[in-house]
Amino acid sequence: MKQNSGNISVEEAKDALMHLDNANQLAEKYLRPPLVFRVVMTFIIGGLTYAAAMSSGSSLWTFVCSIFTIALLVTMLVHYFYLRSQGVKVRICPLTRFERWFSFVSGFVVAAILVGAMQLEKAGYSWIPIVSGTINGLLAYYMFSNFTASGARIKSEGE
Amino acid sequence: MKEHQFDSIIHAPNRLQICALIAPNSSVEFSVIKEQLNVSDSVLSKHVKTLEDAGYIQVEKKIANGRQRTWLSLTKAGRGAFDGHVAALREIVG
Repeated sequence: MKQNSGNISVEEAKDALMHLDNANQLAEKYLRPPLVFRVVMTFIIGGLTYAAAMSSGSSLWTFVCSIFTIALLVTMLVHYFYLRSQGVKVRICPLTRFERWFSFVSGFVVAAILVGAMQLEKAGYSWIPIVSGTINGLLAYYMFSNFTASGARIKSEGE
Repeated sequence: MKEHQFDSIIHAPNRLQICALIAPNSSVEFSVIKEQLNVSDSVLSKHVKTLEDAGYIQVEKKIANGRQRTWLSLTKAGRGAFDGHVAALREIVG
């Protein structure tokens, strides 16, 4: 047993970790966005990717792309203020190294699919926008379902 | 290598859970924590006071729509102590 352990046994430590897991599950439950929000975000991010891929040389698709971007920001703001009204102020900036890394990688993957789709559509692959839109939409749904703020935190064990 | 610090103030089950509920967020309202932990006002107030006296929690009372809301947030010291305590527990368990 370590000197800084406050002389607690392994069983007591396990018990404390069980309480912690319980609290993490409660946090997961109230932080997870409702189903309607996740579905709306899936369509917005999927639509944004599709519109961006179609936007080269088309002012109409560029306009649609802007509409989806505005819709994305508005939906995020609505969710932020909804949680605030429910008594939870969400952290905007990631705090730990793991959270920063996780945010960077997930953002990079979505952006890479979007930029890749734009380039491939220009090269003549006309099926790319629908495939990339579906991938990004489903990816967004998965992220919003499984990696809420506390989700990222739980997975940063040992940091 | 970083030494993880066991913290007897945070170790109490309710206080550990209070910190765990606040940690993923910027701040959480008193009533939300009370509801999640299923404890009375007085019990939660006592634990919050202990954490506040230790400098781990900041309590902010604000009035919104004619209703007083009490927001709890972890201080920098509180966040460090909580993370260190959790890491220390995991080290003990192995």
